[in-house]
Amino acid sequence: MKYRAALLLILLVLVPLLLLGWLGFRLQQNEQQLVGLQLQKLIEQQLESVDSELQTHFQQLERLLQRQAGALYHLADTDYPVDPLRRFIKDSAQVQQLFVLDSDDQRQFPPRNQALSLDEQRLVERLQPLWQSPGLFHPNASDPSAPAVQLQAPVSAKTSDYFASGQLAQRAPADLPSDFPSELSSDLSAELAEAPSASAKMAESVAEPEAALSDRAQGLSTQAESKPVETATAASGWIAWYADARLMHIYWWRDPQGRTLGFVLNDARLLSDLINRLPDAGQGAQALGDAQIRLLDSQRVTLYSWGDYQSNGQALRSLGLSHPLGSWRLEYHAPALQRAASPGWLAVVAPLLSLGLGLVGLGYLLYREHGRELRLAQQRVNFVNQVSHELKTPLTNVRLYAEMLQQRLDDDADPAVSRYLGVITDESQRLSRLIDNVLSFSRMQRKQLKLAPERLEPDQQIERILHTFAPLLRQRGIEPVFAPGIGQSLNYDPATLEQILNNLLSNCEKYAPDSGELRLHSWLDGTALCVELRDNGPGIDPADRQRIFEPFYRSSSRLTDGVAGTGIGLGLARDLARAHGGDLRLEPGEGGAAFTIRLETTR
Amino acid sequence: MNRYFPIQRWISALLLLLTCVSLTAKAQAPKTQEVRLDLSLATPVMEAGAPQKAFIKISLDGFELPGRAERTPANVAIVLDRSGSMGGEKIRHAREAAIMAIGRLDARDIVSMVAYDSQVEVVVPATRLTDRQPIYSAIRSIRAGGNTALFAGVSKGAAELRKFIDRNRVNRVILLSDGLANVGPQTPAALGRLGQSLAKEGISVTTIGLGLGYNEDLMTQLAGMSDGNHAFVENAADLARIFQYEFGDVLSVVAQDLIIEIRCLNGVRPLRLLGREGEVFGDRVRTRLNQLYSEQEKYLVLEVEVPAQEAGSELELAGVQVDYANLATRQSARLEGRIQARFSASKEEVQQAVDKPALESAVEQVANEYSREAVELRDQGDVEGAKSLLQKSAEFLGAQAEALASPELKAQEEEALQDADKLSSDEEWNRQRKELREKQYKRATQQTY
Repeated sequence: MKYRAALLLILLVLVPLLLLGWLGFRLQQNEQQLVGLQLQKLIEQQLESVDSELQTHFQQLERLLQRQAGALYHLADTDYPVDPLRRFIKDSAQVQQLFVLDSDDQRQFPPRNQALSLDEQRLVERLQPLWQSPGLFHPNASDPSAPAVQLQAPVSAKTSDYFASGQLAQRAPADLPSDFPSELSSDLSAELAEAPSASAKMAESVAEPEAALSDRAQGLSTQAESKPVETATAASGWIAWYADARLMHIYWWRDPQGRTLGFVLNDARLLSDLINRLPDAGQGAQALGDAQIRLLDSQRVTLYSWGDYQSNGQALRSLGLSHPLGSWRLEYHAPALQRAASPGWLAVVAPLLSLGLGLVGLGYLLYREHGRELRLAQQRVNFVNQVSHELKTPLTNVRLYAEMLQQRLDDDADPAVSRYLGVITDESQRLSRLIDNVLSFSRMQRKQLKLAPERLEPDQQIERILHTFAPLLRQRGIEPVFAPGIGQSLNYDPATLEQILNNLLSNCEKYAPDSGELRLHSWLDGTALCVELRDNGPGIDPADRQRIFEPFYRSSSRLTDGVAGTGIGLGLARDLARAHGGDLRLEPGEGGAAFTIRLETTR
Repeated sequence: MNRYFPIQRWISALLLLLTCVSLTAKAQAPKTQEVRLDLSLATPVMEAGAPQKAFIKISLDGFELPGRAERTPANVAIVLDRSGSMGGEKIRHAREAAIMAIGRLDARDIVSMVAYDSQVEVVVPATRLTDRQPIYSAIRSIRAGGNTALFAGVSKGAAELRKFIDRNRVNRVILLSDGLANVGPQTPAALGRLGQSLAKEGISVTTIGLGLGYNEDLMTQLAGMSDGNHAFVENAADLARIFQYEFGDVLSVVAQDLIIEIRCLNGVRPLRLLGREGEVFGDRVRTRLNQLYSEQEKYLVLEVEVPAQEAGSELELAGVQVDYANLATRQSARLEGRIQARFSASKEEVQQAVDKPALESAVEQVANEYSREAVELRDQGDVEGAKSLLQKSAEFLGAQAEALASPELKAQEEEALQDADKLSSDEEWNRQRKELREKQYKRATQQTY
């Protein structure tokens, strides 16, 4: 009882605390997620702007190379002259090597029928599989399955690492040569907008704006003799390719006669130029604060980094670059998000803590109040107990002397005197039963009830009890009839049986007056001593059947109103029977009340 | 009055005039502001009747600068390693050396300073040298710590140069590093390709390796591909001296963008270009020098195979053409020359005709190639092979030194023997390799310091 109260109070404090804490945590988490998302978005934008900066480099390079290709085309007569091409390579800082394929994709430069330098031989060896892959330099968008087929050819030969071919992701229409047919250029930009941004795929090919354009290009190529460079931008694209553990970038450009010029870029120079487009340490620290952006190649090796934050943990965000740097990534490193949100945590924990303290204080007060009340009740029970004890001694004396007086009076006495004595005896017996009930009840409450079994014949005991009760019952118009059925002595606690019977009989006397016969009979059921009482009174309302055994409950009806009682009788009787290993049951049935007492006996 | 007097006066006046004219003529005579091309054959007379190898020496001489006032303006980026290993004395010496070297420049010049660790910082963006103090204080603020992003450092240095790039300036990155590149590309080949690309823009990279921690292959490749200088400085206190030499070179450039094309004629086949990178297309050899310094000789030695000829015949072996930008006249110029050989049956005649300086150079370069091969062998763990190769080289040098009575070759023989001796020690190998690479580089490029 005591612990339960404490437990309840603890729950009272903890449940709202936990509930609020959980809600606060969820709220915080949501907010954090929101902030995190916003931050991620910001970071992504930052990375994308870096990516587009790098793309700008390729766009500018593309323009430069296109111009140079145009100039080389001007020099070309029927074939591209070897010497100017070699001089071009010698002078170009960005271009490492150059190749020319004729309209059948056959190599024209490096020349087939002249001695090659070592570098040129190496180039030929390396690019042979690329040149042989069909249609790589003739992408055709009308056949979407084509790109996938193209890809396998060069890759399978040596490296399965990386191969991608396509155009730059976003090329502003303004970049197109001004003499480009205008209706085409709008088509083209629409096409390019749809082109995938080449970021992640191992291999992909952004195809050339479709048949219309190639038709146009063919149409133009027939009149190319008269109109040389103006129609030059028929087709071009970027190829990124890993060969011999080096990323090669090739820009190819188709001249109006269908020959392909391929510029193999100097990879170190390309990286150097890209790095030069990125901020240095000072600018990086200014722009990023406590964060760092890293440029990583396909092997996840840092090529360049800027920003102050230095740690090798997981990146907060990483972004694949656009074609032709598709195998490279940008990573954003910064302290984890939790740190940014830590003041928010304090804001949640502080009110929770104060609320918890308040609840604990309140709980403590309640607990103390409850304890005091409990003590008070205990004191009252003790008081009633003591009073009952105190009452018992004089009462015993009253009964003793009344009985002694009755014996002295003999036959010749005034019948009125003997009647008065009878009343005194009856009432004192009733009072002593009442006190017994109260004492038993309080013992039950304190779990101090002890059984005192002895060997007796229950039939005789029941007879005797009935005999004591008989005058009282007859006075109320009830005629007890007992049918004994045990006929042997048993080992049980006679005080228990007496108290149970007393309670049942006095209930009968109180609530079923003038009901005629009260039938009792006893029998032995195995080792159990059973007694049944059945009266012909008004019986018990079915609604009350469950509750009549509860302590202090008194069924209320016209019948019971005006009848005094403590309300502990039936409950006590059942508790006593149960303490004796048996039970007290209200038998179901129409008319009258029937109880069965069942007590377990020992041999 | 004396009537001869006027005649005497006339004569004296005439004499005066003459002396004046001759004086001015004398003053102008050595100022042929043009690079001199010298072609020589180690063996101008060759044995007849059998195919044989020959060495052609193509030598270029920088002319004298007219005066300090007329030197070529410089555009210099100093790229300084400030990784953790540079801490303490090293960075202090490096800062002071840089400041002292910049002290030699003046308002015509442009200077920039880049420092790198894991990241790259442009300490001084490309600026004309009008106000020195802010530059000096920026340089003095450089502190050491972090990794070595060498590639990015050189890239940013080159980017600073590009802001003012001009073919009429000496455009140079001076890289000082003491450690291995460990952020970004780090192979000698990748840095070599960067150097190659920079050379095409007229930028040279001089690499100074400090201490024993740097990668000498990377540093020599970068310098070699861009035709800069290379130096190994073991002690940081020597940095000031090296910077002085380097800036001396920078300030004495007289010609840039020298493109040398050799066309072998009459069935002569080029075999290899000793000591320098070059491209061979069939019978043609192309190479370039980024610059030529005042009063310094740079040369190439080309080994060719000459087909068998009859005795008494003459043969043109090769034609050489050099295009360059003359910084004194600010014009591009072309030099041309041809080289011939005579064939004789007499061995004596062949011996007597030997061109001593040309053969000396050829021998020096051949021995230098041996030394390079020895380093490669040693790298593969073949200590004995490397040793015997160096001994072979020393023998070859000794024989030639005697034949040519050349003290230089004798000295080189001594050096080769010493190198062979020191080869076996493992502790010393790191230092020795750096020394060897430096020596080889200096021999091959005729670096003056």
